[in-house]
Amino acid sequence: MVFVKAQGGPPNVGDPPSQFTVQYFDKEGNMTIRSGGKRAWRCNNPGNLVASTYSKSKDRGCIGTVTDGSTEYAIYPDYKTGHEALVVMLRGSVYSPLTLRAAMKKYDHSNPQYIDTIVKITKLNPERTIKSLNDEEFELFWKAIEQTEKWEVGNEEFIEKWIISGVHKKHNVITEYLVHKKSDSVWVSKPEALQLALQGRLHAILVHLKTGTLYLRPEFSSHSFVVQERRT
Amino acid sequence: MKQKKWMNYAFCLLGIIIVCFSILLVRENHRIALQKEYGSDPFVTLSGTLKLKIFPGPPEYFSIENGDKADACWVLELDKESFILALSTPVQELELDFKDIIKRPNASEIFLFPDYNVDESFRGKNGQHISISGYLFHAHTAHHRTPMLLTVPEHIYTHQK
Repeated sequence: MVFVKAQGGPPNVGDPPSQFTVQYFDKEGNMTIRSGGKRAWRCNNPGNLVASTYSKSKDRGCIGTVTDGSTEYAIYPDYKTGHEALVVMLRGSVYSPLTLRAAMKKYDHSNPQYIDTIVKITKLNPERTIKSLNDEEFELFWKAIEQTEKWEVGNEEFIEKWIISGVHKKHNVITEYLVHKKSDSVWVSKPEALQLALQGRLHAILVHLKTGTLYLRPEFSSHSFVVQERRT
Repeated sequence: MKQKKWMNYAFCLLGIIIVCFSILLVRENHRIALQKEYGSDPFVTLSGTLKLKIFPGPPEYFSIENGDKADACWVLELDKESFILALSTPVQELELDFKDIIKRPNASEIFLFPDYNVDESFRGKNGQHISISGYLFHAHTAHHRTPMLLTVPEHIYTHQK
C-alpha cells in the first residue's frame, strides 16, 4: 500500500501522550492507523529524525509530521524512505567528516554509551571517520544505529473509506445513502451517513449551512449522487 | 666572500620557508582534527544564564512520570542579543525553520553539549550569567531536547560572572 499523506492522531485510551498514533492515508483516502510499538515504527522513521528542513524536504519523501507536544517528528511513507533519510544524512556534509565517536555524540549527546553499543555491534574503530567507511562497513554502521534506535512493530488498523453509490429521496430530500464497501453495499440513514462523514469514512463533503443544517455533497470532480428507486 | 654572504641569505630564506610551511602544516592538521570532531558547524560565543534541567530520557524521551529515565542536562537561557545571534547564524544542511524554532516553548534555551570533562566545571555555576563559545547546530534527532544546541569543547570554554 502506498501512503501519500500522514498526520498525528490521539493516543489510545490510557496511553501517555508520547504514544501518539499515526494516521496514514492512501490515494483512495483509506486510513491506516499505527499505534503501540516504538515511535520509529509508527512514523516509518528508523533514525528518529525530527522535522527539519532536511527531513521534511521533498527529496526525502516526507509525507507529514507529528508532535508529542514538545518535539515534532517526520513521518515517511514506508521504512525504505525513512531509512534513506537517515543514510543520506549520515553520508551528508554534516556527519561524514566526523569520527564515529563524534558522530554518535552528536546524534545522542545524552547517551555516552551509544558509541560503545555501536562498536560492540559493528567491531569498527570509533576513531575512523564516516566517509572512510566502505559500503559494507557503512551498512554495519547504519544497521547498528537503527537497532539502537529500536524498531518495534505495534498495531495497525485499516479503515476503508467508502463510496456513496446511490441515494434514496423522499419529497426531493435525501433520506438514505447507499454506502459501497469493499465486500458489499448497505443502505444507511442520513444521520448515520453524516456521522460516517464526520469520521472521515466517506468520500463526500460535509456541508454546514448557517441554519445549522448538515448535508453531504459529492467530492470535487466526482459525479452527483445517483438517485435510486425504492424497492417495494 | 660575497658568495658566502649570499649562501647565508639563502639558508636564512630556506629556514623561514621551512618554518612557515611547518606552521601551515600544523594549522592544517589542527583544522582536520577539529573537523573530525566538530564538522563544519559555525563557531559562536553566546551569553545567558546557565541552568541544570531535568529532561525525560530513554526509552520514549517524553515523560519521567510515565517511566522515562531522568536526564540532568545543562542549558543556557540565552540573552536577547545571543538569541538573535544564534537564530541568525546559518547552519549547514540540517537546519530547522526559523518559525519551527520560535514556536517551541523552550526556543530561547540552548542545550549545552559539553565534552564530558567540561561537565565538572559547570557544577559550581548553576544560575550564573556566563558567556560560552562553541559549535552551533540545530536539533535533528529525537534525542535533541532544544531546537538549538551548542557543542562546547573544553579548550575554548570560557565563563564570566
